[in-house]
Amino acid sequence: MLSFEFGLCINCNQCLIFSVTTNADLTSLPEKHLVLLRDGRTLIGYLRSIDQFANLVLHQTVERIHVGKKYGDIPRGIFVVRGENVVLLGEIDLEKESDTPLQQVSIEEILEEQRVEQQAKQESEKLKVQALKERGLSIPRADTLDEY
Amino acid sequence: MSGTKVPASLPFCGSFADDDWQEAHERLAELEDKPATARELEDGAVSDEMDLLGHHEENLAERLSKLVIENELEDPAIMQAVQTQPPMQQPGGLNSSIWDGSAVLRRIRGPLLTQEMPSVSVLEYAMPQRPLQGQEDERDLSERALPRRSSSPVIGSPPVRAVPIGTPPKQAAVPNFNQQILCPKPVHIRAPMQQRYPSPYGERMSPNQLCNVPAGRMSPSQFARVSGLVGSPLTSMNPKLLQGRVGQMMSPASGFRAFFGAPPPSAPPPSQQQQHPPCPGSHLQNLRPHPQMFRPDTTHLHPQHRRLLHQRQQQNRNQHRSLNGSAGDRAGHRSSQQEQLRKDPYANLMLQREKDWVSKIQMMQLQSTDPYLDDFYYQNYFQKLEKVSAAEEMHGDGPKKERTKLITPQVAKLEHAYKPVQFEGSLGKLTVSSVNNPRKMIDAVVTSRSEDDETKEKQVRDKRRQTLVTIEKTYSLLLDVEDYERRYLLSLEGERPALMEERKQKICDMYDNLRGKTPGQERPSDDHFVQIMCIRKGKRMVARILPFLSMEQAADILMATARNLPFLIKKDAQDEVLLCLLRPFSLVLYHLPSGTVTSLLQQLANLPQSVTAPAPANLHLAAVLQNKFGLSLLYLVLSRGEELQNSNAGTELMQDNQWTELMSMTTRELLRIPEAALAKPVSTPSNLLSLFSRYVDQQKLNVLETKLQLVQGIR
Repeated sequence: MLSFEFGLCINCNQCLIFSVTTNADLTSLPEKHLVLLRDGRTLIGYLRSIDQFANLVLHQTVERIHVGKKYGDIPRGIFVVRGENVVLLGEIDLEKESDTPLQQVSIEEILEEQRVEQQAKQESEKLKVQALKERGLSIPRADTLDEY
Repeated sequence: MSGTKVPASLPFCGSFADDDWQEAHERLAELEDKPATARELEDGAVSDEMDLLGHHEENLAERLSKLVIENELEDPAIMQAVQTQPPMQQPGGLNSSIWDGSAVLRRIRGPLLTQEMPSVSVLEYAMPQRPLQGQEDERDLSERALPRRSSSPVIGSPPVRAVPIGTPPKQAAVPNFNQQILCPKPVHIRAPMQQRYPSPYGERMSPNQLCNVPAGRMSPSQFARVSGLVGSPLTSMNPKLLQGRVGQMMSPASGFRAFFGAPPPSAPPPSQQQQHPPCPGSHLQNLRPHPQMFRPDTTHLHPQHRRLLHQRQQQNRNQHRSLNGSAGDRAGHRSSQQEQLRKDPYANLMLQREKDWVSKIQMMQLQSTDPYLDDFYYQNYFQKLEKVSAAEEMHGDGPKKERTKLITPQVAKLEHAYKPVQFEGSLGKLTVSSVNNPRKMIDAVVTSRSEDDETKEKQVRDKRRQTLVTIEKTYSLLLDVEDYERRYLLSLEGERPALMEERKQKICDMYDNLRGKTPGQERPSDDHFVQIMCIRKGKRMVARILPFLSMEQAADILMATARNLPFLIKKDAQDEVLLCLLRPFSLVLYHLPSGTVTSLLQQLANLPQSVTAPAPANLHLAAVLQNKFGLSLLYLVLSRGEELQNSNAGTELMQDNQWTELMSMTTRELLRIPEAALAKPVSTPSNLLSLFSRYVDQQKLNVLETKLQLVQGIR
């Protein structure tokens, strides 16, 4: 239905260039798209509208959380995403969609897994900072750094 | 008081002529003095103008809405459009059109509400919730509560929808919430098809309402054509609507199950559907606009993308054809029904027009007169790819992969003559500062400091800064020079000599920058050069500049490097960037004459011109040997010397005392140095063994052999 193509904009490194076309065949299935956001979230939905800033309107969106080999889908409904938060956007091949080594689990399970993973990461981070402090070094955390 | 009786059918706005407003205002002022009872006597329905004048503003909105509704009922045009059957007999009837009077709609409101259809709630909000008009006239109007702000369809904002646009009706039967939402299964849910009133206001309908007209594929702009047909064909379309709706019902409805707690209503028997296929089908054909096989403009797409699109279109067309061509009327029809079930009713929410507009904006950004300047990395990347594919083609395999790139529009840059902004009505020209036209805002005076004031640290810092600036300037020259080849190819014949001149000049400038600006005939100090070489970027830059320099200039650079090598090695300890110089150095060495090679070795060994008694340990050389770069460079020099000796002009070198002296010096040092301290060179030239054999005896040769691993295979 809507097909996209991306390239880097030459003037501004931040905005995406894409060209929008229609699938002239009206009887085709809609195309699912996968969007990766700047905060790391993965959204999957039918892309209904897009504009020059890559603001997106996603229909029947599902937020997919990946932990290890498992993933879980949280249905979210309609999403309107501001273009500056989009990292990449791609079309999902419906035939190949089920052809994945990943295993789908329930929402509760995946959220639990995610929490566990976050905890483990935090602990290892803490240990690292501790070790560095003992040596008199300090690495500034990424979130306290300036963006540029 | 009320001079003119305005007919009720005229809209409120038109009742005021321009010159009347003063009169009306006066009348208003007069009226306010009158007792309240006088108002009640008036016939509210007739003199609308007076009513409006005689009441406070807060009732104004209320009266306005009342006015509008009254107009509808009394408007002969509207009344004619109402069905002949009295309104009371159409509580759930499908025959009422959207243009029925509000009274009709209000009657119908009741049964409809139980099914909680959003489009009805629209109307519910659009009309104030009141009983028949007639009863109200008697009441005191000031006591009535204000209707909702958006109640008037004519004036004010569009009606508030209780349920947001896009929510599906509750009738959708959702078998299981946990089902994968995005892949609606073609479950045959037959929702009871009640009358659905498309919004009277919208040109753009929500997809829910779009599906009322069975051609769900229609874009909103085509709604206008169909609206006239809503009335009569609705009955016959009823079952077809069901079918058409099922597919779209599944997808949006199941997604929104969370919002609606209503259990799905029972489905009518499926037999109803099968009875009517042919009839609504024909209707469909009439109603649905001819599916436009419009071919979108795909020229701006990436060629691979275009191919994919066409392929997909072909596939779908083939599928569709095969489905329709299956034997049996019924079977064929049902499969086409299934086809429709799978159709996406939300497709083409973006009009082709809008998509083109977005594409146009994007393509505009790609326009450039000098793609190499604007889009350097993209261009270079594809050049590299082309080179690789050309190389592959040379092998005779033919083009393996089609590496096509996006063809961006090449537009000539228009000269924009800057016209300063002019204000109308101003005396003279106001100076406005902008990006194109900057104006001096502050009078800043540059004061240069005297030499005495500067401290040593500042001097050092300034010197370093100056070096950095020199590096930057030289680098830009270098980039320009590197670019000349491409420009040469693109330029016309006449321009080429000029280009060559420019290039030469730039190369000279670069060299001057490297060595310090013409300090006279002799270049007494390497200081400038050494400073540059201390900085990582400077070393890289020298490596890139070397190929462009003439032989003498390059040799000069080499000498300077060799002369100061220990110092540079010390400075390079952290970076280890000196190694990048090896390759250009070796290229230069290849062309050097013997005399230069000798002096080079001399520099490396740091011997003064005249031969003196050899020091017990040559620190300079020792340092060189312990460093990877130094050792590699030494090997290169030695190797070159050996080459020269082997060649015809080698006799010259043989006779050179200095060379012999240097060689013995070198070998001595090599023997002396412990193996552990010896650096690992980048590569060991193969002719070193033969070189050393000339100057040392067999025993020492063996030692050297093992130490330096001169023979291949001993690792």
